[in-house]
Amino acid sequence: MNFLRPSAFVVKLKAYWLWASGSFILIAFVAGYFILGTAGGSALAAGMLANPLSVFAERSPGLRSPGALAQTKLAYAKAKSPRREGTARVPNERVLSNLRSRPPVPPIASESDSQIPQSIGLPALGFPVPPEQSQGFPVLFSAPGVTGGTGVVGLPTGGGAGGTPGDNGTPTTPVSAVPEPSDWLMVIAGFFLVGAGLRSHRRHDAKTIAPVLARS
Amino acid sequence: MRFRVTVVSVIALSVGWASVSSFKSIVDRLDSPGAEVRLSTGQRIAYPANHHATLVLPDGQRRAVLSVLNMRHQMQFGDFLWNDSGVPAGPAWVRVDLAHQTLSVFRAGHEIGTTVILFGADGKPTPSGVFPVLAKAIVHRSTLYDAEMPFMLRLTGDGVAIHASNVREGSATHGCIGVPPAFARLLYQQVHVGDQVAITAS
Repeated sequence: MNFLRPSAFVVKLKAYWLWASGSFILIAFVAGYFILGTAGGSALAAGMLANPLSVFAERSPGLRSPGALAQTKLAYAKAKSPRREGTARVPNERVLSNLRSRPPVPPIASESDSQIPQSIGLPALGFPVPPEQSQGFPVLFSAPGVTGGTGVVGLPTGGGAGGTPGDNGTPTTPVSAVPEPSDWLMVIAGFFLVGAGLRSHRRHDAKTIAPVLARS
Repeated sequence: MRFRVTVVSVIALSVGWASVSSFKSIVDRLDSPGAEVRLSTGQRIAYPANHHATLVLPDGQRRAVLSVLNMRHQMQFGDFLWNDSGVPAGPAWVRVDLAHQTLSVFRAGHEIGTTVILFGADGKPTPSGVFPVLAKAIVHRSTLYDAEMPFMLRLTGDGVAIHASNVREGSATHGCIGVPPAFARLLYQQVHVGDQVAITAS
């Protein structure tokens, strides 16, 4: 039963491994110190490390395929690509040119010829003009290109003329692209309001400042 | 008088608030991009001080590299890495590698940031060379392309710049260098007017 006991050899072996590992660690320490610490050694260490360029290359997603990207914007590229046969290019712009046609305006009935002046400006102001009177102001009221401004300028004369209400004074709603006279009136009234406000402010200031000035 | 002062101050405050909030919304939009990933790494790869690595710039300059970020695997489009902890203050420079589609920021010889970039399409190539940063702008709208170019670092007089972009595969620019918005913000804080940007095409 002698072989079951820990032999001297095993003990010796243990001691050997202890010594081996210890000396290896010592050698590694000393070698590492020299490799990293001295000038020649650091060159060796730097050689062991990766070159920056190789690190950058490892990060890279790769080369961009040549010629694949002639354009950046997909829509732009699509617009430039040749169209297939048979598909006509349809313009999708929405800018109106000054050359355009519109459906002809239906002619006004002969009976209501005398009512043309009424349809421009005046009915909205509530000044029904009798036809026989309104024919006296052809320039002010019956011009086709009349603006809201003219309507306002012509307001007092129109009002004077409309003193006696006519028999066919039913106002018709005007169809006009220019601003309505009521809008113009509102703007002008606003200006008056602003002016009045400023004036009252100035008067108020004068009242408060005058005693101060008088004292000094 | 007091009423007038109140009215004017209220108007001024509201205008100021509106402008600030619109600016903030622009910046917030940049901060929450879609597929942007900020990566992180362990220790950096440090080169010995007396045997540092060098990088040669297109104009022949040699720049010392004391350490690089320990990012040794492939990055995806939109990924970036920024780690300047422990890196001392110092002059910054940027290296753009068009062939590898990467950009690296260096401070005091240490690499502090890297990302995948977009660059000029074949019809509008990005120039190579060494360019000082001419101008900076957090909010910039290109007059040439009528497009937002946030965190812009202008490099050339004819409009080539580094700016925030939606960095995704298959895209290119009209000559600028596009970087992910969050990276662009960090880069903008780091780089000053006059700092050099080296663009290598090889």
